[in-house]
Amino acid sequence: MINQNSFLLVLKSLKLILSVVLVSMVLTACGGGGGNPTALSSNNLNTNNNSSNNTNIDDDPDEWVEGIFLPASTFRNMCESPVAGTSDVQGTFVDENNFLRSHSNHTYLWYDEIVDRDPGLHATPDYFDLLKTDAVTPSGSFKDNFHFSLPTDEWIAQSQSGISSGYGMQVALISSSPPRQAVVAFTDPGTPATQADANLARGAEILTIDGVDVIFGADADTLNAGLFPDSVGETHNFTVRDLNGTVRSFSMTSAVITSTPVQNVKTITTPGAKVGYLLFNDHIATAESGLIDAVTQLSADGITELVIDLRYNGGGFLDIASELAYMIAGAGQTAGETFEEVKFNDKHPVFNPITGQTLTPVPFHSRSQGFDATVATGTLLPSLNLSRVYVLTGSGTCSASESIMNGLLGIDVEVIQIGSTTCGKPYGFFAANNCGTTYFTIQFQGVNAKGFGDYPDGFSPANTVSDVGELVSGCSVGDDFTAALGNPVEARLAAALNHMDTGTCPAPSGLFAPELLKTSSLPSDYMLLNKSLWQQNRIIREGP
Amino acid sequence: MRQIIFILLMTILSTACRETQVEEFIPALLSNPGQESHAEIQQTISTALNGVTVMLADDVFTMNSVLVIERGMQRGIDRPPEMGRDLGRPSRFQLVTNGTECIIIDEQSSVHWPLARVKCIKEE
Repeated sequence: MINQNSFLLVLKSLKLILSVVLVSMVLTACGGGGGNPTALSSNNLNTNNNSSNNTNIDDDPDEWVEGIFLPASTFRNMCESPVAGTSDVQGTFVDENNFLRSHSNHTYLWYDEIVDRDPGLHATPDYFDLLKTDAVTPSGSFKDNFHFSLPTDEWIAQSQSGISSGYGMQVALISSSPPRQAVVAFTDPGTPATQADANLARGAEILTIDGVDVIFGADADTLNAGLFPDSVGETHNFTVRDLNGTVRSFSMTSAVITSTPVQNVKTITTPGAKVGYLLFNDHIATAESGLIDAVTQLSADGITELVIDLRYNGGGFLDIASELAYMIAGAGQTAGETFEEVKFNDKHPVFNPITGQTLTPVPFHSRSQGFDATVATGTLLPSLNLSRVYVLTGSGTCSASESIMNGLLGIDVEVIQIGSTTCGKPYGFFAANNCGTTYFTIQFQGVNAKGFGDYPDGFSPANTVSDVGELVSGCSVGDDFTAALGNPVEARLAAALNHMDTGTCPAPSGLFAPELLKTSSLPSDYMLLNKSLWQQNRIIREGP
Repeated sequence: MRQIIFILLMTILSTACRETQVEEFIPALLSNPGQESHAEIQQTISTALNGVTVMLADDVFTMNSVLVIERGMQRGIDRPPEMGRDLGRPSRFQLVTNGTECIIIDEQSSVHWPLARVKCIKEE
């Protein structure tokens, strides 16, 4: 009897094991569940954080001991106000602060410059603001200008590449408080901004929105609502003054628009050269095909010089910057070279602390990385094989755009900068979601093949009046809203063309980003609304 | 009873698995563009991305079978710019047909979703 029972027990155990194995095999064969691992991995904090100076705290993990950090995962999703339908659990604001404290200690690029403060003494938004360095750059600006948070549901919203809602115009705000000046910087073709009623073009000044005076009006809410409609289908009334002085009124309805990240590709023939020009506004996926088409066209034209207009390009996918840099320099100058190497803090010399992947330098990509729907992954990229390039810049030239300049400088391609000082962002981060808020804290720095990446004050043309940024050969030239982008008479392009012929610059007229925020007179540079002032909830401010 | 439960479980799992096994998929284009098909595509992509808000062009899948999705475009001051230095890649989906159904497939994971209100034709 005992033997029979034992036999049955063994048999049941075997059946159970077999069942588990079979179910596991089926699930494995199915390849897991739904969802998109790539999208999630970039949005979610890796909880496998092991701070180098972690210490067990036996009783209360919320108890603050200066210099002692539990893993961020200890506190993750423990929220004062858990978000329904998520993995959030009830916690306290101290838990949220402790998450940020540990996360920062583990991943912040300058973690050893954070003053360790008691997380029980500060509201979470205030505490996050304190989790950064207070160091300043040689210009006197804060070293960390990119420390911010967002509601997670806003951050994770997705769109088809190049698709957004709005009018299809970018507005440069020359002054955000009265007397304001708002000028159209560029438009996207085939959008409400370029349709017959509006027919907006660069340089048009917006005078009224829904009856409110843009220049002196006190109703900033109406102005913002008109400039930045919350939804598709909103109609607002505008009065503008075109470049020719004509004042006219029209209504414009927000729509789903398709941006054109690469525009105005053309060849300009000068007495000494065939000069290629392209306007590159966004490192988004659809830019891949735009850049390939542009370089193919310019190569067929037999250009001998190239001007890339990055003045409004705030960055994006770093691999697209690498592709463009390759297409400029060609295989001969880039083979085996590093475009950009990403460096985390000294706790992570080998592995990316967020993804766990081994850190490897980004090369100059000679083949398509598969961003755009119309370009097959692995397609050999065209190239211009140039040994120098002119880059038109402004304070909106940021991050991956600066990487193009720095990456090429790293392999001794001559980069000549025409315009104003760039934004100064050799840094990057991975977003960290916790308790309905997404946090951004600088985690890595990009350096070029020479190991250089110290340009927190941006790149400045060599003849800039005050030495603010890292100096690069070229000319300080203010933005010129009186001519279309790509028009040879536009001041920055004209200066580039002149420099090619004569090696000389006009009198310096560009500005550095820090000055833009101080000046009350009409500067020759501007603030591009959606790029440079993202930390503000409102662009147009009421008067003092 | 346990045997019945086990057989039922295996049947369910086999059925679920059938949807992710390799079939003869042909790239396809949308042949009935309109609000109904657009809404179903949008809902499907949102589901694939764990329910996030997704904005699509009105002509999605009418000119190309591949759909590239990335973080929402920053076209207003009330939102920050893109990462600036983004080390990631966008998500890619493709509209395909197996001859009887129109299906959206996640190119990376091969997980796919049959569509009920979408009609499609082979992409030339």
